[in-house]
Formats: sequence, C-alpha cells, structure tokens
Amino acid sequence: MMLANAKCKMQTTPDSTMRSQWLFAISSLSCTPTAKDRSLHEEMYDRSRGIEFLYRLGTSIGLHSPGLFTAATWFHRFFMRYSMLDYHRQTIAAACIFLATKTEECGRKLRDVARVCQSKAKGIDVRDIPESGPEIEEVSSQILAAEEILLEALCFDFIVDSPHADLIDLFDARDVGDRFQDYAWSIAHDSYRTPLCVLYPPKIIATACYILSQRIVDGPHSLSLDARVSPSAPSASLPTPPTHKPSSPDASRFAIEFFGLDESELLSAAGALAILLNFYEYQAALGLANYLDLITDVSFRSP
Amino acid sequence: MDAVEKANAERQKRWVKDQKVGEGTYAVVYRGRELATGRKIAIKKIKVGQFKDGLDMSAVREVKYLRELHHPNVIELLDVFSSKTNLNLVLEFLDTDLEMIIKDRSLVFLPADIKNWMAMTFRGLEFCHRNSILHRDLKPNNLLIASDGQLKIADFGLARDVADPGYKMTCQVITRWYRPPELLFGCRYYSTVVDIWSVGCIFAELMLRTPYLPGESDMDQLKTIFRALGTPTEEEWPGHTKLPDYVSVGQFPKTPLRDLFTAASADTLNLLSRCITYEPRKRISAKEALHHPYFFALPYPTHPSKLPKTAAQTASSRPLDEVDGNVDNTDGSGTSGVKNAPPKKLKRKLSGHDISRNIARRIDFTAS
Repeated sequence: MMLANAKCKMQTTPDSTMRSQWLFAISSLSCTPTAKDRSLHEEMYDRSRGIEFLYRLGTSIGLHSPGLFTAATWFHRFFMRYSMLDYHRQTIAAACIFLATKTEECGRKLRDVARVCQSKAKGIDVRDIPESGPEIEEVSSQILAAEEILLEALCFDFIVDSPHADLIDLFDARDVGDRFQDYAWSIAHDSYRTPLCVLYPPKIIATACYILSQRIVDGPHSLSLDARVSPSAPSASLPTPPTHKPSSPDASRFAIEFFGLDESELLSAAGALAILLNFYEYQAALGLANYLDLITDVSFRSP
Repeated sequence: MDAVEKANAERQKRWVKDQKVGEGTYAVVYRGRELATGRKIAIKKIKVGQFKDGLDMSAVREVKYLRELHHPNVIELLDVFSSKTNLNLVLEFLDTDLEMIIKDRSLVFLPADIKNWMAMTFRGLEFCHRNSILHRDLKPNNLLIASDGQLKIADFGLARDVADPGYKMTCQVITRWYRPPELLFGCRYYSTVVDIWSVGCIFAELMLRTPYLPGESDMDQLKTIFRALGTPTEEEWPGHTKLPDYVSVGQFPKTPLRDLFTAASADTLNLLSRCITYEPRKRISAKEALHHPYFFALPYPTHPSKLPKTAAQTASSRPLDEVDGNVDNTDGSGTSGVKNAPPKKLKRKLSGHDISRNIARRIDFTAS
C-alpha cells in the first residue's frame, strides 16, 4: 500500500538533513512566532483546532489519509515560521490541503476546495454554497495567496513521513489483533492535533502510539507507561509482574526492541507519550468525549 | 529577516542568471553559472501565482521527485529558491539530448554506442522504478546528454508515485509515439512497465535513426503499432479487448523484427521484443533488462566519453568566450529545459549535490 511505498522511498533517500531540519526542541514551542503574543496553551489549542478543520476539509473533498498527514505536518511546520496572528489557521489549513491534493495526485479544483472550506468555516451545508460568486472568488484567492507563502515556508520539502508507515511495520512483525491496531492507528491520527510531528521523528511517535495503545489493551492494572518506556527492560527489575502477566515476557518492549531504540530515543518516546497524554487529558477535562476515559485511566500518573 | 529568509537570499546569490534559453508553458529557462566555481547550470523560473489553480502540477511533480532522486543518470536538482513570486529550480546544465544526436546525420552510431545509451537509460529508470516513481514521458528529447557523455533522464513534469492497487491513474500520459498500447486502450491501472515500452521505442529509434512508431493520431498510433508488430491475439495479451477504450483497428499480420532490424544481433532483438511485449505483465522490468545477455555480450558498451557527439558538444570544448556571442540558443520547445546551448566543457569535480542542501534552513530560536 501507499504508506509502505512511501517508506521504501525514504530509506533510499541519501539526504536525511532535509528532514531533520524540520525537527525542533520542545523548548522551541515557547518561542514560536505566535508565542510573542499568545500563551503556549492558546497556541496549542489553536493548532489543534486548525488540524480539526484541516481533517474535516480534507476528508470532505476525499483526500486520502497519507495526504491528510502530509498536509497536517506542513501546517505545523508553517506555524514554526509564521504567527497564527498574521495567518489564520483555517486559511493555512485550506492551503495545505489544496497543495496536498496536488502533491498526492488527488487533484481537486480550487473552486471546490474553496466551497467546502467556506461550508466548514460557516457551518453551512456545501449544497447551499453557490457554485461561484464573489464569496468563493474571495476564498479562492486567499487560498492561492496562502499557497505562495506556504511553498516558501516549506522550503519546497513536499515529501513527509508519517508514523503510520512505522506502525504498519510493527503490525506486520507481530499480530496484535484489531482492537490494538485500531487504537494505535487512531492515536497516530490524533498525534497531529499536537505538534509532535515537528518535535520527533515518525519512528518515535509510532512507538509512543504503539505503547499507549498496548497499555490500554492490557488494562489499567498492567505495567505502567513509565515502566514501558524505562531505559532497562522491566522484566529485569520485576521478575514476577504482580497481577497481570503479559502474553510474552517482553511483549511490552516489542516496539522498543523492534526499532532498537537507544536511551535518548526512549527519552524522546517518553516525551512524545507525555504530550499525547497531555492532549487527551485536556480533551477529557473539557468533557468532549467519554471514551477518553480509556486513555486517562492508564496515563502516567495512575497507580 | 529571519534565518530562513537569510539562507534563501544567500542561496540565491550563489547562482548567476546569464541568458534566456527557452520558454515553456509554465516556466522560463535561463542558462547560468555558479558564482564561486563558474559551473554551468540552468535556472528554471516558474511563476507561482499566474495559474488559476495555483502552482502548476508539473512544477509540483518536478520539485517533489527531483528533490528526492539522486542518481548519475537522473538530472540533478541543485537548489530551489524563491524570488518575489517566482519559484526557481537550479538544475544541472546539459549540452544536448538524444533526439539531437539521433537527428545529427553526420554521426555514425556503432552497436556499442547504442548499448551504452540503453544501459544508462535503464540504470536511471531502474532507480526511479525502485523508488516507485513512474516517469510517464520518456522520449529521446527527455534523455539529456552531458558533455562527458553521461545520459540523464529529465523532465519529471508527468511523473508520479505508483498508485495503490485499485486507485485509478490517467491514461493521457506519455508522448504518443512512445505510448504503450494499454494506455491507448484507456487502461487506468498500470505500472512501471509503461515506461519500458517507451524505452523499447527509443531503442528501436536509435537503430533506425527515425521514430519507430510515429502515429498521427491516437487511433493511428494503434494502427501503426499493430502494423509493425501484428495485431495482438487474445492469447498473446489476455483481456485487452475488455479495456475501456478498446477498438478494433483491423488485422495485421506479424512480421519478424528481423525484417526491419536487419543488422541487429539476436540479443538485441530479444531485448527489444521484451520491451515492446503487448502483455504488460510479461514486459521486461528495468532491473531484469539490466541483467539481459545483451549487456554482457560483445561488443561491450562504449565508454561515455567516447560516444558520438554533436557539433554543439564538440564546440563546447572551445573556450567560452568564442562561443558566447554567436550561437542561437533559443529553444522554442524548451519546457523540458536544460539543453541545447553549448557551454564551456565542465569538469566534474563539483559532483556533490550536498553543497546545496546542508545550509541550515531551520530556525535558530536562540539567535533572537
């Protein structure tokens, strides 16, 4: 499938600097262009709202998932260089989606993207949006203007990796059942609602998604997340897991061993997990969805 | 000016634009040089804001794939920078292309010369296919030749990733004379072997010194193919009559390739026939082709530096000053770029593409 193809390509690419120049230290998040005028919290909230809009727009025009992830990554990269006060998140999200339809060979007419964009922004059914007219012209030209700035901001780095390709490798290597896979897959989707893609490489994000999903499936009484990402294998310090026995002695270390993560990468994975949990806890605290209890039940702080 | 803008301005300063060499549908091509070294380059200037759908698809594809592909037989994208509302691609400059060499009646091709051009084409193509990229516009005009004789595949304006199974692709690709019959029949699911057909046509053209299958329209193209190779039977190409745009264009008998290619060796004809096999699944892959006995049999391929050269290439070894003023470089068709003008012979010591990219374009937050 396409994700797997995309992965092969990455491995033969000699130039890793092109990708690593897009990874930032966590501390950078408090000095983004937006950070001058907004709190970190506000910026993260607006980014997640921008991604929600991007996903909804992209899905409505039928862009496939790898295209959505590419667009979402560009969105985060863009706002590492430009302020959310100067460029509205919805305009940039629309420009990312429009450019992704081109790079991902899923061509859509600008006018159609503009119409769906308008419908999502205003909450009106797309059938009630006129085919053309000054309003659509206006949105179209905004998207085009944003595309120009976006292209430059991206340094024309069009090809982007997503953690999903690494998850596929993990699933291929070990059969974990549909529920586990669905959780990990959805968490990987949600990872774009946070700026993880500009902080860690896809492999680390995939590991975090995998471990969180594994912990949810194993249940609240299983090995804690802390232990799962600890530098030394927990089986060494815990010869007899108290209540719950994992199906195989090192199943909880599977992702870590599969990617051969070293100590600093484990720290990164723990950092990625913390950001994911932080995001979910915030969503749960807003009372947006009760299924989030599944995740908050197993977060770092649980006993 | 943030760190990135500075880096962009710095990069722009590395390249000097000299003169316009061609203009295409979405770009203007300039000849230029690298300021520090005098190395010849081509700058393809793309206007971003001038189309109703924003950045043109061919520009998107070209940037997307050439940023990733680095191979001696694929044209090198040295740099990308933007100036005002233009996107500038800095490409290797190449003296000529295979079409001009084929048309140059003063040149005589030996079988060994053809063998090396084919080997270089297959090497470049195998690299694209290995990375699951379809070129979809191979023709002699898009195979550029450097002054040292290296052949490089250029013009990725129609290229794309191999689609997921079940995902339709357009069949309106590849210049007609080089387009395989499955695309002419409207097949929307295809793979890397569409490019192999084109290579087969180029192979034949190198031997004949004239286009092998020059159809006048899409319908006539099918007739031309069948006239040359015989109308395919259901056994030879199962299911072709079920393709969306299938039409019967008449029955033509099979004539052996030998009748037309009288001087070719058995290996040559075998490889050619494997490239222009009707059934796409039986057509040879680029990788298999590289292992074909043709490439291991005598005569061995000519060394690139000893391949036939056009007058322009030979002229290019003269000092630049002599050549500069009096040669008409304007290439009317020039969308594919980057050829047709006689530059100073360049030494290839600056081979690394790395120079263009290790400029840090990430933002340095500590600076401000």
